[in-house]
Amino acid sequence: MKHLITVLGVALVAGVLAASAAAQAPAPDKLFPGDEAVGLATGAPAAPAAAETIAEDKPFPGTVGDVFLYVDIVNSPRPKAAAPRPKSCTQLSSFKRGERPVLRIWGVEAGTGEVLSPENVKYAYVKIPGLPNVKLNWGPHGSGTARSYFWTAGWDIAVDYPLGVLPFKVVFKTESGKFGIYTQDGLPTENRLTILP
Amino acid sequence: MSKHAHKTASGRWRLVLAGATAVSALLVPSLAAAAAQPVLPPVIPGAPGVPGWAAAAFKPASELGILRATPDKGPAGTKFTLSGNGLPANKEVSIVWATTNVTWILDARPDSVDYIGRKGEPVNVVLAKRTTDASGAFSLELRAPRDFGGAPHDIYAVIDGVQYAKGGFMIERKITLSPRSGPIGTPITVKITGLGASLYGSSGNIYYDGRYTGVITAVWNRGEAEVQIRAAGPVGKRTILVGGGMQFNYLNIAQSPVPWATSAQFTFTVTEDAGPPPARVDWPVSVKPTIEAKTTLAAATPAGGAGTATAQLSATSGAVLSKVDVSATGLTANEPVELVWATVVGNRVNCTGTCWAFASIPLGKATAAADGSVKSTVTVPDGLGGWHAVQLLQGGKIKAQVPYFVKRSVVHVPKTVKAGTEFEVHLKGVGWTQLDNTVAVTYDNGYVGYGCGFNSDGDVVLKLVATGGTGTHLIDIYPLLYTYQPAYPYPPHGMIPVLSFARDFPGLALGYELPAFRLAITVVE
Repeated sequence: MKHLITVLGVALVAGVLAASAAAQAPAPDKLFPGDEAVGLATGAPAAPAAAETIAEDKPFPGTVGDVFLYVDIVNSPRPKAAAPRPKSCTQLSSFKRGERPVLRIWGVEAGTGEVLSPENVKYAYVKIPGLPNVKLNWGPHGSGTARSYFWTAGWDIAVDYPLGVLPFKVVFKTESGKFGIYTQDGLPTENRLTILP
Repeated sequence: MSKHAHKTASGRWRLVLAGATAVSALLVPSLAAAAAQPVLPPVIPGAPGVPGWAAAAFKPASELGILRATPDKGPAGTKFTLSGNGLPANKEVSIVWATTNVTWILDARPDSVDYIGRKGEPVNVVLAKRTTDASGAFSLELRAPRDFGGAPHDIYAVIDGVQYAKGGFMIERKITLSPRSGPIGTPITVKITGLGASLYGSSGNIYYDGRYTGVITAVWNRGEAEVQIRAAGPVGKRTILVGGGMQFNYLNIAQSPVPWATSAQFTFTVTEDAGPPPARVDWPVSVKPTIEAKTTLAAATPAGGAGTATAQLSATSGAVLSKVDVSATGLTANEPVELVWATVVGNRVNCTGTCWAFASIPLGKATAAADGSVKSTVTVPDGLGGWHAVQLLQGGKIKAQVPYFVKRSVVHVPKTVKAGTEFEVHLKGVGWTQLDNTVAVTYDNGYVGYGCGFNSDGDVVLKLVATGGTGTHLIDIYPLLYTYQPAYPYPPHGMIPVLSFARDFPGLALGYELPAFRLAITVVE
């Protein structure tokens, strides 16, 4: 079986990024039952989880980074050009054309331990071949005690979008000038985001 | 030679044996550790090859464009147009097709061969080359190669080692069945193209009127398979499902990560019961083995003897009790020659330790002529099937040896059986490795069980029950991949009939000739 997403994307990139987040923000997603509309929110970010001791561990796939990202992908409950699956908001790595993948991202600036939020992020977007950059939005999801804040970006897969692995790239730049970049490089091909007919 | 067996506390007979003559040469560490290895695939007649030449390494451009394939899905052979733009102008572009080379994994040890599983390695090949125009665009007509299906093949436009754009094409699964009608026993051919490279989605399976028949694989055939079953009764319309899934039908595969592993349903009309069809043996294709070390032969490499002599057999394979002429040269002149059969004794059942060992069976004696030659005729022992060696010894040392493959054979199947009663099908020459120690049996295309030949020295008496009412009923005996003891993590397709044995069975790489037996009985009141 495929691993569904994984990850810790790490970035050591400085000055490599050519494009900035200039895309139009997509329609807000409702990722959990009872969700409010998602958008850039001004609420306080969730407190970072207590740090664990992982002295001997090497983060995947690199070794040192300025910004750490957790990235996964779930299916939107409202695909525009495909039949909705019986269950939405499920972590997946393969999507049919017409469906709407939604990236969910949590991040931390390594130097300060601060959670990435609009307060310390200059811009954040997803780069998808053949498409304008898709802006990442910060906001609350879930309700009650399950409510949490994270970054999301969704897009509707065009019905004629090329099949196969989709080599997307997640880019964060912090106000302090640090970059966080996540790609699927290093994952087995069959575990990467794949577009199906 | 003498055999000495003892019974363990668990009641199983354990090895055993001390061959009087050749023991010193034959004893090698049983269950000797060896590394499991992906097998170099043999050349299967008619199977497609890798669909292009190896692509040089490339890296992605900072701005990756997209390639359009129109259409972008279809069975192997589908024509499509591939186009791209926004590339560097007037440059040669390589059209790179991402695919996978898949093979079986075996642990071929001196005393056995263990089946481990399968393995795929991603590989990029160049399908074609074109030159971009002054605007950086190109377009060309392609035909989807005969290749693994399912997961879309990524297609890259590579210029000067940089991947500038990416597209994809999905080779869809295509399943055909013919003929669609005929009497009981009619051979029915199922052809599939587009089986996948990765485990899930790589195989199909057949259900005949809801009964599981077996698995279809295409590891060494780049997703193509052709298998035969036979039309079983009763007269009327029968439903044949060619299912997806790994070995059994995956009933909600549309919700899986491999939704392309589709199935197909057919109706076959059984027109009449014209009596039992003639018994038939379907042998696998003839291939050149890619692994030369064949169990006991490799084990019995002349250590004590110098191996100075050479020997030949009049045949290199046959059933038990076959007569084989042996000739040799280079022996010590005028000295006695012992002809010995190298085999093993033991079993795998409930085994946790050393469960079998090499044994030698005398085949006869001769005396080398003054020129060091000898000629004799030996009889293949009524024993285990599979690879053995005929050895020529002088002074207790092996001077020459020749491999011999003992084929499976059917020695008895009843013609008529009373309904509801037990009957026997008797086989000889069943082997001992995980490739050949067991047979899988279907009754009217329903898998009813397996039979092992190791403990009984190749002799297998299958106990079956005459079911399904009066008339003709079919018994098909297929090769099987044994996966119990020793057991390895997740070896797929184990302990079930391998319907695709003729063109895709790991034993082909070692020269195993494992057939399907097509038998029939008449059930009476």
